[in-house]
Amino acid sequence: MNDPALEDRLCTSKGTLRQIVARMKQRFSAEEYGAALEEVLRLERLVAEKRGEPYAAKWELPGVWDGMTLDCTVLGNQSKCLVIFETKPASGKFRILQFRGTAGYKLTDVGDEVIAAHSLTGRGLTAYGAFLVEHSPWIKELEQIDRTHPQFDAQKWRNTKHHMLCFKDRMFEALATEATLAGEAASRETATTIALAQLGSR
Amino acid sequence: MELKELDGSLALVSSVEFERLPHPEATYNLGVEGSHNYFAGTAACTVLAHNTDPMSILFSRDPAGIQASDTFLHGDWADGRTLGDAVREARTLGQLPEGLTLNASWVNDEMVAANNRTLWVAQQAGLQNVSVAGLENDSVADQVAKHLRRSGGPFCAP
Repeated sequence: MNDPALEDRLCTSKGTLRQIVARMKQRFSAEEYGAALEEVLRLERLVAEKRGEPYAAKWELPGVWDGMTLDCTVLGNQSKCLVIFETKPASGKFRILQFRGTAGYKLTDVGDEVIAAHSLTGRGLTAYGAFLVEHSPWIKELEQIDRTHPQFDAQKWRNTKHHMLCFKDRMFEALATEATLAGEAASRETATTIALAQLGSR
Repeated sequence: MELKELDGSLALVSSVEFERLPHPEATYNLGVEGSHNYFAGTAACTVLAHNTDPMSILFSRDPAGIQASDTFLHGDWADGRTLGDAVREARTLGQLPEGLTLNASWVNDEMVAANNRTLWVAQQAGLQNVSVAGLENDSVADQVAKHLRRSGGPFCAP
């Protein structure tokens, strides 16, 4: 369902954002730009929700999210996966996120230079963010396939969330029922050792 | 080809001529102290040029996170060659190698890079001048704005 008043507000907020970018040469405030961008994203999500379309909602993931980290290391098996990433570039602090009850996970080369072409850009997605995809086409696709199984469990799919982490150079996505902070370490090697141990445990 | 004049209007380049010199002569890029951006030409036709000392360009993310072993993700250099390889080639050539273009945007009267790895290469190679693209491009400006919002930059050379 369309909401013309809401879509007008979105159009106006996009205009405000364009104006801020247009006058960057003379005056730029990251706070002002950030606030205007967040308003555009908020309205994009509302418009998509009204239309029943997929959109990227903000995800307050466990632990602080920096977003400028280049990429991540992914370890996984058929029921869980662990993602290791530096909390901030050159910080020497590594975090491990664990996704349980996974139905799928992927690491793609959708980085900040090409994210503008992603299907969820214009629907709440922006570079360097952490998101939950609402009305996820990926969940729908896999649920449709799973539905053919005699022991199909509809509740499992109701509990499954589409998580999305936008690193600077890569995008990680996981369909999982649970995401938790599984540990932190002072090096990627130590973090990987911890993650491997977690992968082997129940 | 069109070039921008001092007053913002466009000047049409109607022809280009090449002159073969009898002997090689040293030529130099132009840099203007205190300004990364300058107008060149005659009183009748002055055009805007961008020929900038890479050390005067700022990073939009912290360059401390950039390493010689990093690789490029897009373009001709996204074939596994590292930033270190690009630095060596830039030093040999005295300019950025073919396939690497530095994009930047103006922010509070400072030039700020959108592609920080390429700026890092130019600085590490000790290049005196680089050609800068994207200064009038909205998508480059938006990319720089997004970087700055997240990174807390801009940042000077490491």
